[in-house]
Amino acid sequence: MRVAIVACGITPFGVRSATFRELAAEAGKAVLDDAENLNRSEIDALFVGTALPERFVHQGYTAPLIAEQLGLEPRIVSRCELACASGQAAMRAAYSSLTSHMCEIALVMGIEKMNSGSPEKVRHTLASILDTEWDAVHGLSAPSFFAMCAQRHIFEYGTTREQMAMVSKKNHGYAMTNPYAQFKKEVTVEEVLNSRVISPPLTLLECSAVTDGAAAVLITTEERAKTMTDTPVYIIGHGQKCTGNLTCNLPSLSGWVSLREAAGQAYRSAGITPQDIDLAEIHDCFSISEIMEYEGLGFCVSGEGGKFIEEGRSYVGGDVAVNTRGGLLGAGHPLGATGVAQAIEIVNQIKGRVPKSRYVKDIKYALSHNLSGNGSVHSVLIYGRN
Amino acid sequence: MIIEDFLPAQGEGETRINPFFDNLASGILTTTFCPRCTLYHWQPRIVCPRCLSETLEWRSLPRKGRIYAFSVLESLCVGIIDIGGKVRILSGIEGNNEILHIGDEVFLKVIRLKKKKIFFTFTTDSFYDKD
Repeated sequence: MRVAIVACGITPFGVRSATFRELAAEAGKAVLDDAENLNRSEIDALFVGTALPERFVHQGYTAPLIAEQLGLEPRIVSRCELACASGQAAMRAAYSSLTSHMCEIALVMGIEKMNSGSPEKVRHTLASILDTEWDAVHGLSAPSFFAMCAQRHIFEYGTTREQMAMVSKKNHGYAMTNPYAQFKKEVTVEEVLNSRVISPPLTLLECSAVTDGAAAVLITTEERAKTMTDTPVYIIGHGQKCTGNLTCNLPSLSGWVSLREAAGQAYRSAGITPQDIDLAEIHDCFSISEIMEYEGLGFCVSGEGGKFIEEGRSYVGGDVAVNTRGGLLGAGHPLGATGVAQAIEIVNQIKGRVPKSRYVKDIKYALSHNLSGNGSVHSVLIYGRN
Repeated sequence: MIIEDFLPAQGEGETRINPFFDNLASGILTTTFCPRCTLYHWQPRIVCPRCLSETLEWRSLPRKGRIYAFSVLESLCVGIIDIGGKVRILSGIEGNNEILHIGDEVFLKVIRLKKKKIFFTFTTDSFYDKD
């Protein structure tokens, strides 16, 4: 059985003067307004992807809270947590429930309210994604982890700082065309390299920010989808893999073994190859991650990710358009919302609802990818027009 | 620097890996070893993640290692240290991080904290080279 995305709604991303539940109400209203030929009571499942609401905003049990905000009374209701991949985890839960005939129309909401309290509190909260007792206890955090990845990638493959900065330049450039993005400002390679050093070699403009936002999609069966839209966007492949968790036990810092497996599964289940992908929304939480993902997703071989961006192959018009909504670097990274926002970009691209400057023509296949934590889990979904 | 909120439970009756902390208090770095798999674990375990055996032994590790990767955030340096090819350990690294390189040798330094808690870091200071 096939399932498809039929409606999308998103809030502006950034430092928002809005509470957790208001973000949910904004994105929820937007997705319901976007849905055609739907009675709200037909929504029989709600999956919420959110990473750390208990610590950011002292709110657990988020799925029923969001159901009430939107006047929904679903039969199936659940919250999904997979750190930075929580949004995709919620989409995967909806996919499973739909394909196993447990529900017919699922609303998926990804959401995070991260700007709440001091930067120290936010940092402490984010550190709890890592193994607190043996990793975060030593002061390890996301920037310092990804700085080690960058260090090993430079050491093993000779990737250059300029190549890393080009990822930030590209994604900030695309964010300029996305009214929902947190950073709508063009940056040059020099500006990226000269911005404040966060964790060497990574600079401020190479790190995704602390962001509030929510994004929602409606997913339904192929049969029902055809009654709601002329252009359902089908989810046609999926892959996920967990390899280790404690940072020192990861198989590699310069390449993600679990991404290769997750991507391999996803391509096989869709019956396609990496070269068939026209648009990829991938997890550039840091500049180096996007470079490592070109490799792990099979767009180029190991060690050539830097050259891939340098040669312009990940721009619109290149081998594969990557992160056309601005990525996490440009659009911001409200943890739970990111995976759903990526799916929305794919739907909007396929429906031709994006500005010309980032429009990818004739998309046949697209993918979304999230890593979570220290890259111990990678999750990939593949989408098709047919 | 140790983020004390995140310290693992250490006392007998709180955790079954309490020998790790007792040994550390004597300046000895230890971890569990699975004789069936001939596998050293990091962190110390109560069940071997490879074969699920509970019959594990405590083994001493060298008190020095070589840096596999490191990074600095607001003058706080952390790194992954290769301990004699047996295990890799993520740890803080004390010392002048401006002259650190992959492959540099670093030494275990035991840190005694409030409420009889204990933990460790590694340091570039060869004063701690006790092996």
